[in-house]
Amino acid sequence: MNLAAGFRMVLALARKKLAQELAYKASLLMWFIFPFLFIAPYVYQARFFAGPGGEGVGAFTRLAGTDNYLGFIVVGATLWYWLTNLLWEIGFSIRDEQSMGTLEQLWLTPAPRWLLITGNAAANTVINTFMSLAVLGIAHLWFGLRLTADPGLLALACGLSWLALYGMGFFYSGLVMLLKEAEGVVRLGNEVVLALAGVTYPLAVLPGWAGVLGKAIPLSWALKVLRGILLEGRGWAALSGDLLVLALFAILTPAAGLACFGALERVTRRRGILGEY
Amino acid sequence: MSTSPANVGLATAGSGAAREWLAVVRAVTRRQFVTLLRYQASFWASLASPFLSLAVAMFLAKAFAGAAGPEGFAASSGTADFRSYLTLSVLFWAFVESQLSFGFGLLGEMERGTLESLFLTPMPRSAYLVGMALYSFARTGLSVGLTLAAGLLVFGIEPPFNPAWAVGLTVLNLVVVHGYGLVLAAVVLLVRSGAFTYAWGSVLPLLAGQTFSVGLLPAPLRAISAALPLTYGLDALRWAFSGARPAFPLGLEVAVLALSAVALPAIGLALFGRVERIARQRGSFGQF
Repeated sequence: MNLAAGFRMVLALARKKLAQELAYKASLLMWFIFPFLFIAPYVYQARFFAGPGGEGVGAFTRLAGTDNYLGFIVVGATLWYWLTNLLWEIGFSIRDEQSMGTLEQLWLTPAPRWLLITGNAAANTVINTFMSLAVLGIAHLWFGLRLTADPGLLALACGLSWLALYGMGFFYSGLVMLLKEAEGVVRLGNEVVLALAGVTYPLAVLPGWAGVLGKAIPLSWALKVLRGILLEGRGWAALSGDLLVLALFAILTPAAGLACFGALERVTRRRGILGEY
Repeated sequence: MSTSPANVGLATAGSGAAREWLAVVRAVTRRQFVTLLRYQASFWASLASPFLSLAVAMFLAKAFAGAAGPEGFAASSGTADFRSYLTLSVLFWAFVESQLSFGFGLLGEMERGTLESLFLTPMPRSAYLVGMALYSFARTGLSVGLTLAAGLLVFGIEPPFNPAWAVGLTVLNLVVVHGYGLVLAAVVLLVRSGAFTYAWGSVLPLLAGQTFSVGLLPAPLRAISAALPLTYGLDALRWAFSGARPAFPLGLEVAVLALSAVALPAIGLALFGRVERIARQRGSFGQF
């Protein structure tokens, strides 16, 4: 399959997915309201623990490097929600094809399998972008969230984060295919990432071993860079080291994810359980 | 009561019916556990989930606790024992979620087309509902027990502030939570969709103040929060376990909780029966 044909296929899959989503107006509303409902309790918990006179803010500032705990949590939880949506989407698209008995037919077409997964991810990117903007907008209105950014730097950081996070999606696809379970795999993975990647609190608060694990998750580096840009207004020079690490994740995660996907798919096919559910 | 042959016969028939009822409860509970164990990833996820939720809440709290301890929390709540406060809140929420998902079990039966077959059997409906609730409580109890053990090791949880009240309020709260589950299961049966339950489950942590006092909420949300029995139950429990200052007068919280423990399960059962009759008349058991 040549590049143009591959691009057309990804576009067709993305359009199909978007048409499906737009057909269910109520579900569409959920994409935008529910992330805020997920984030708000963390912000209120933080306010409760910060104290009525801000007694706990000093401790937070020493660990996080910023006193803007509201922005810290909203940015962290929004990006985590992005990853969650992505993994649910990719995991369940495979599982749904298995349940409907169409995965084997789809896999028999000459289309590269990684492109079939990328099609769903492309549609998910559009939805997730709108979701994130909506959450940040609601957080601005509700909590008075204020962000600042160098547009060029932000675009680069978002691009690198996208590659690093979507690379994780390939690995999940293979796992769901093999285990024939989407919900448990994705739920467990998301909760572990929520606990270890410094989504609502700085990594410095974790015990040593957990902090090391947290630093191995691409999301924690994406958050470090994005928080630096959006909350502290840091520039290219200040973020160069963190950007380099994120760039490494942006190269390595998709490559490792694809390799894992290929290996897990081969095991699934050898066992003859591709169409089982 | 005299022991005439007729009365002995009635008693024998009664104990037979009770045995059958218990057999249904056992069968329903067992079936649910067999299904759960069939999906290993979901099983492990359900075991680990409360501990991971607790870890997230604890680390967020620790981020605001300096060398002098949790000063901000102490000023907000009137106690420095944030570990008990959060442990209780998160573990109690695991039971709330288990009962919220009760309706999803029914929805699963609808989607698989097995609800009609199930309800065509002569089993008492109450036995089915109790079996499902028992399974939910047992499964959650297992993960909560493991979380408590792990929480003791990792975070060091204090003993309850007021043990006697802690036990009494826990029992009342579990009854209320089961009542919630029945009401929501009836809603699922009526609307043949889990969307309402899902939406309710998403907004409830904010409205009931899952890990914070509802006093922090803006006035309109506080008004909705004050209309929810769960708010009072959770707040009273936090007082009993950690000594945290209640958001409402404690007497009011206990009174609302006790009243809800009587009313909600009764309303739930009555509603479920009524909705089941409607579903039979519409012939909508198999639709989703």
